[in-house]
Amino acid sequence: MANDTSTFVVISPWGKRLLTAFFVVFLLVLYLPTVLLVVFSFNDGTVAAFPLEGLTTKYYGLAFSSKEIRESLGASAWVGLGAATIATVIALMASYPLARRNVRGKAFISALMLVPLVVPTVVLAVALLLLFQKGPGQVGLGLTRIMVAHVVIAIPFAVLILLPRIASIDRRLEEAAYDLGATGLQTFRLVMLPLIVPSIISAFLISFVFSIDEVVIASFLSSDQVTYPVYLYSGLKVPEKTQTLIPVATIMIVISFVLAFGAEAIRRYGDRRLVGK
Amino acid sequence: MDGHIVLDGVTKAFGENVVVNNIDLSIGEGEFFSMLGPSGCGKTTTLRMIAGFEVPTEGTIILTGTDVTRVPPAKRNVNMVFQAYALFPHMTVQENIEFGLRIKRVKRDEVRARTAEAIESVQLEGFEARKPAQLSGGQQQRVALARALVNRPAALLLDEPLGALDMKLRKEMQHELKAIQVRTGTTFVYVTHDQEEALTMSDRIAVMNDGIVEQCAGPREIYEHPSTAFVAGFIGTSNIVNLRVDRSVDGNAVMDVSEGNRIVAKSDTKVGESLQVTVRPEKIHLGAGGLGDDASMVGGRISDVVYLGSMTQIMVDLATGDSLTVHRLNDEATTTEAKVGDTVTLHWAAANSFVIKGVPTIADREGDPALDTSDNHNGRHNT
Repeated sequence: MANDTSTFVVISPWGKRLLTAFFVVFLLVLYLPTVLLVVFSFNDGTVAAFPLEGLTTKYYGLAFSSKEIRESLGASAWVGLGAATIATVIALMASYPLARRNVRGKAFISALMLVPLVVPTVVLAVALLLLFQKGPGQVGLGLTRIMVAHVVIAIPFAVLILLPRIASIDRRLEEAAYDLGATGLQTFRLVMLPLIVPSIISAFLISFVFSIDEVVIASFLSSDQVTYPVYLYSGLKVPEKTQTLIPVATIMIVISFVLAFGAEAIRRYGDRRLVGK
Repeated sequence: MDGHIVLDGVTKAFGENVVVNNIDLSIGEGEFFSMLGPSGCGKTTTLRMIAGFEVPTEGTIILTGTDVTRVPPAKRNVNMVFQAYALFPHMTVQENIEFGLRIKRVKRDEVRARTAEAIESVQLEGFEARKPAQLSGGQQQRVALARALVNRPAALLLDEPLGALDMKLRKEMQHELKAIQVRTGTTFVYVTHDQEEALTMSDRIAVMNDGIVEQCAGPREIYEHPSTAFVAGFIGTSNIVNLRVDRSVDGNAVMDVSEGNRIVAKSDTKVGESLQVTVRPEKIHLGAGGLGDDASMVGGRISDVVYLGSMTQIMVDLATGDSLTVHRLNDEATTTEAKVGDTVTLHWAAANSFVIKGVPTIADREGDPALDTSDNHNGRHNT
């Protein structure tokens, strides 16, 4: 790399090979399981193992004709949409003053918002279970409990997406709107909102992906109705169910990928829009 | 006080820090009024108080006869052109300019007519559908102007609007701003730290320093008759000479430097007292000259010569210990070349020596609270 002027670090040829090897191993570790899952979902056999016994899509059909699977997917969608909506709204309402006003104890409040990120999920799950069952915060239905719990852990992600964006918008844009006669609400609706909409969508998608993926809290708090990750986890203990679970898991992976990439693409689009390109 | 915009005893403090200290200003209708000073002098804070973004700690602000001290910006009939323009990046030029009118629910026909008129007045026809980022700095500047002017404000407040432009464009925009101001008859309140900009465009200039107005007058008056040492130093190049009054002749204070050498200023200061006198470099001439008895005449040695293109700047050390800067035009008459080390005689008319006020003796200073506070804020220029 000595003749490459664009890099400041000079790496020896052997170092370069080592780095390349490391990167390949890294990618394999990260994506091989996912790829295997996709491959097995088309395997015409009763166990997920090599050698493959032929190509089929029959398990996709079987999976979606199962009432249990359809219900668990529906439950996941309901919990995910609800949790993402509520978390995004709360995160927006918290981020705006944190980014814009001189709130007393700003650092403390910010830290408090991010606590669910560092508390182990199992601890949080036990705490929530105690709260919902024994505490003053009793919530009736299983799915609503899970939704509330997912709101709690999705808020930090939504705040981390929204807060920097709002803070990066020139305060003078708001002053200019006030100066031209706009009320606070008009300023928010006509000036701020269009500039942060991409981040709002991004925060919503990330929260949603998080919720449809989450298994620990959902399994602690679910009663008769379970979300898909919980169903999947319990189903793996029953060998004859396994092959019908893999196709759905594959679809979930695809959805998660699309949403996560979509969220990032929208966030970048918003960044470009802010500088006006 | 009469005036289109009146500031009466306006003070603004952020905690302990007094940024604007008891200023009085009266700005006339249709006037191009500049507030000039170094950063941290309180000029932008004063402008923001007129706009309504800051509420004065003390004093009142009157706009077209109405007390607006506590009226929010949205309800004041003034508009601001922000530093770096603050155009709405997601809106087109057209939408940016229409914004104020649509908020005020002006009828659609009128919005269209007035927007078209504003776009024409800043020569942006054909750019209506562009986004701000697709425009050059100068064009963005025009959009910001049009966005404010379309509301027909009682006054336009401009916060260093040309700061982001390069030198050549800045000069062009200076002329254009002035032309727009004259054409629309709008009162402009203009904040700048660029003395040349202020001198070029303004009808009157308030020179500010440390939260107070040092001098408020027309450009010529400010340049030629600076009333304080700060103004003399901030505007253009200036020589400040210490003068101990040896004689008083016909209302002139005279300091005899040596035989035939004297510095003269119009002042009735008593013999034995001291003055500070300022004289502009271009008013000083090399040579003995044919000026009368009341002219200043003083000898010295050239310590530095700098060629500046249209003129030459010559530094002369005087026997009194002061040093004078002299500007000499490089015209055809200037055939002799000034060299470092040459002994020269300088002269200038008494009318060009200005006694600086506001440089009180120690006795004066004790009874003057305004000066005390301004002194306390020395070294806090960058707040």
